[in-house]
Amino acid sequence: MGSLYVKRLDFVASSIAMMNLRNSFIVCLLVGVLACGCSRHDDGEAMYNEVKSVDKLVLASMSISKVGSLSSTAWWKIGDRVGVYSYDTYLRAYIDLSELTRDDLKWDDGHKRVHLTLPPVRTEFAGRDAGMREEHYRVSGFRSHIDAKERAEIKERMNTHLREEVENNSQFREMLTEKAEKKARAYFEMLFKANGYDADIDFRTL
Amino acid sequence: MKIPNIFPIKTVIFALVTALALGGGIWWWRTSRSGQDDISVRGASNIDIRTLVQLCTTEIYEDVPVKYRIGTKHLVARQLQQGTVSFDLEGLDVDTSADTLTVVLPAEIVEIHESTAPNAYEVYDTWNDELFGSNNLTVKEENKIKASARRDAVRRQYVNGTVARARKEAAGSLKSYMEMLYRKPVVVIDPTPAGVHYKEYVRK
Repeated sequence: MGSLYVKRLDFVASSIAMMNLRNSFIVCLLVGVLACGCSRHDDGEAMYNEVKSVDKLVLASMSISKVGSLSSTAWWKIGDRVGVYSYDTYLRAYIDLSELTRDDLKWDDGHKRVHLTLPPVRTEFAGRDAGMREEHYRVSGFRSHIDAKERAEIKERMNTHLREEVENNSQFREMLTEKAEKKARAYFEMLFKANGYDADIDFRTL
Repeated sequence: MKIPNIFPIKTVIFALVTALALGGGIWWWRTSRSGQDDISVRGASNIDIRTLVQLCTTEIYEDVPVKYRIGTKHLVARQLQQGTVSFDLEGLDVDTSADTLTVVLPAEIVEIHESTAPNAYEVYDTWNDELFGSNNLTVKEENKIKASARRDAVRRQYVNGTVARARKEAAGSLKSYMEMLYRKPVVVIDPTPAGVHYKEYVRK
């Protein structure tokens, strides 16, 4: 009887050990499969910082709105996913005052006239809004929300599109340059007028 | 003693099939999250031009980590900031009747934008302190974080002396080009060398 009892205990103990071992093996197998889905991406980047002294007279600023959207094309998923976003980018027109010399000013004190040749008007990107406007947002069914990484990707595409648009279409820069030149003429004419002189203003070409 | 059969074949097959099904499902879900959405971009619109006369003496380019919290949600990102320190010359009051012109340097205008260079904004991670809370930041929340980052960037220019240097350079530049235009000695007075808005941004 005693030996039978011990044999039963032995059997129970070994069964428990077998089950634990079997379950542990199954868990390890599952963890191994899941771990294969993980990836590590380590791309170290240097951080760039610069503070530059300049001598620019900014005469005009242009803001351009850009609209981009994300919509789902996954037909097998239940629900829709649509987001429409916009933000503004800025261009500015300026003259570089470090290029202005005394030789660019020709005084005619007898006739109270002055001739001023200004440096050429140049244009450049002056940055974009950090935030975005959410023009439309609709996520339904079992679809996940549009997250910050996806919005950053949309913004990057919009930025690339806008840069190409401005490079390929000179109208943006021409409009801005025209306004800047008009402003420069008005400003300097007013300055010289206050001193009793009439001014002729022109610009060097690039 | 008989060696126990701890791996019955049916259990092994079941575990393998379950693991493969689970792994395959996870792989499909991960790959189907990205690259299945259309991103479309419209042409530029709402073009607005304004004219101004601003003397810009400093340009700022900073690649900064953006690590902020809003409520229980956190965002870690990288942002390339582009900014300027400028001075409005249109409102300058100049008395040309005197032999020496005296000009008061106007208030500085510190502008910080996000750069238009490629990859100027990259999000690395978002998470929620609450165990079952959503990791997702709404556009409104993200814009608040970016506004904080912008405010900190402006504050940094006051603290590190960039604004003070910009004001000093503006005084020199203004003196130089006004003496050229007016043909008279010019004195530029700067009543706030550290910046008009220094106290607003830098609290001890």
